[in-house]
Amino acid sequence: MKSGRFWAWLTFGIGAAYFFIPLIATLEFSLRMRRGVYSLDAYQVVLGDVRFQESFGYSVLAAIFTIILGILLVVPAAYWIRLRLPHLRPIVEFITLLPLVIPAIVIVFGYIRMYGSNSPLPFLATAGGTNVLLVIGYATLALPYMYRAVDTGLSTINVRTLTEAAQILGAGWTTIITRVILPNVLIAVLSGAFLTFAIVIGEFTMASLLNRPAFGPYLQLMGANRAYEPAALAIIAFAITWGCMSLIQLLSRYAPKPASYSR
Amino acid sequence: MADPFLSIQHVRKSYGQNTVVQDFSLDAAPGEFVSFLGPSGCGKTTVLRMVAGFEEPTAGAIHVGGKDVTRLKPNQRNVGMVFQAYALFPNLTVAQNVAFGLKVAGMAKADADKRVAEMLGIIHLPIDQFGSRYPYQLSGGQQQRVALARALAPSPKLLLLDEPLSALDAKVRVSLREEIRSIQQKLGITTIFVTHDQEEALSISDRIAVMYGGRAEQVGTPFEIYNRPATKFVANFVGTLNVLRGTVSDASSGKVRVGEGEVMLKNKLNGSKSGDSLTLALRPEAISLGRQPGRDANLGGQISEVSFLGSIIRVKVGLGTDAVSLDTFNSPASPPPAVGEKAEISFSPDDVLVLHD
Repeated sequence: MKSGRFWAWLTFGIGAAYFFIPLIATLEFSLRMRRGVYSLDAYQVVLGDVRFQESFGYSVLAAIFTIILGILLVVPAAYWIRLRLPHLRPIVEFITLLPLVIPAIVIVFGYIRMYGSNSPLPFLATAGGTNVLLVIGYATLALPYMYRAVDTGLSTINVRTLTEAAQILGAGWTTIITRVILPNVLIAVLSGAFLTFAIVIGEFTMASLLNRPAFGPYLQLMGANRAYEPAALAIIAFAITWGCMSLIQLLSRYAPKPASYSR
Repeated sequence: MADPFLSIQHVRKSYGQNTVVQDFSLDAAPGEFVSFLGPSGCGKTTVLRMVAGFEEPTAGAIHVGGKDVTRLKPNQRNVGMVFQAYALFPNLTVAQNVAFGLKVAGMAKADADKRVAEMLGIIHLPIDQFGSRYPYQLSGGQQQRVALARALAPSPKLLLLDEPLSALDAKVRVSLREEIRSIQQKLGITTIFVTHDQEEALSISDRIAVMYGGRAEQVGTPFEIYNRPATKFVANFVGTLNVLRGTVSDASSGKVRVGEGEVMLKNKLNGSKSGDSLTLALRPEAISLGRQPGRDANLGGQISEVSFLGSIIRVKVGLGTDAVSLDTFNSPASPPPAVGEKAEISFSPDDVLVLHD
């Protein structure tokens, strides 16, 4: 028993070291901008940079629209599949996994060919259109995470019986989705939303190839031209991701608890 | 019957080639409590779901209060329903659950609050004590009572109960079924109750529709269903039944041979001729061990099994290839009969049911 515990702790220690040592090294390096002493100069430079503020603001806005689009797309689809089309579930799961298999660069080249200024749907002819296309692309990239989060949330409630209970009480589809289904999977939806946020904030390929001023290309630009600031940005990006994960954990405590079948 | 409040007319439901309900008809009077009783897969829940609007009949019509609702959506029918799995909304408190239907109907908040308090009072879960609790904070019985209050709050025309007691423990089941019946009688609401539990159906129903293979085998009062089952299935499914095979030995005098003995069943043969085979059924309470006054038919056999059950003793008597079970009261003064003893049973020919397959 004691030997088993020793190996478990050793494995955990190696894993933690593999994860934390580069992170600590990056943090330490980001604090060494001023010669001889630790300082937050790199962070001051980064946070004071107008391009940082603009690109970060742009990506946050894109993330919000992506989350809204993802929820509008995924919640009704996952709900309907669980309610009426359960036989289609494996097919839909496969489709939602495709963005993990097909590289973002392939998707974005497809977009450029399909939605160029000479196409019937010329999204890329204007900056606004390109922004819309970028959000659609982000929603595609986030689909595996959003769909799984929502589907897992739906699996914790009896979708069919709750729907029928609401229907027999006079509710229509809008009421059922907004007042019965969505509140009961809200934490799952928020989990999907935070994962989407984390993906969008760090995404480089699509934003770069569609030439949009997002946070990902800014990170790359800084990394190629500066020494200490990219390390500070990497730590900031980690903090944002971890913040999102912590919020998911925190919110999951407030999820509606499923009632036991019989007590 | 007065004008029926619920009329199910020649309803059929098929899924492709598979017909699960065939030519089902039933009329329920206003305020009547009708149970659909049958084994799993007999179509009882499908009929209930068609009345609720969750399934559309392949053929036939359903009228509620004189109005054809066959093609109406569930939310347009003004029907209340209680589900086996409670189906309370986990994100809403008890009071919010009960108010859900009222809110959907657009009732003013003050009126809705009053109605919620009234409904929670009816089910003995006072609003000040239980109103702000969530479903997971209630027991199964309490959850089902809230589900009943929620179903009744919008004053539905018809109440549908889909095996509402089957997830509860035995004691709660008995008390809740009595409570359901009492509330139903108080409100005078026409109710359809689906169950596979014969005791439940017999104890609280005005009438019972016994279903098998998608058909109503018999519709009648609990007394009729138990004492005058129309088919072999009904006789077997409702209550305990002893089934004996007999042969008509003399049709003119009504003599029927059962095992090694003979009984007289005049006026029971329904036109059977000498030599015809019959299936005879007897309830355990209609049989006595030994000769009893008023029970003129006697058959001899051998005791094959004796089970001591406390206040009663269940005795099985072999009659050739068949056997009958009967119960006798335990008496400390006389020991129970022994296995292998010769025994005579007696019954009244009037209590014999001649069954048709």
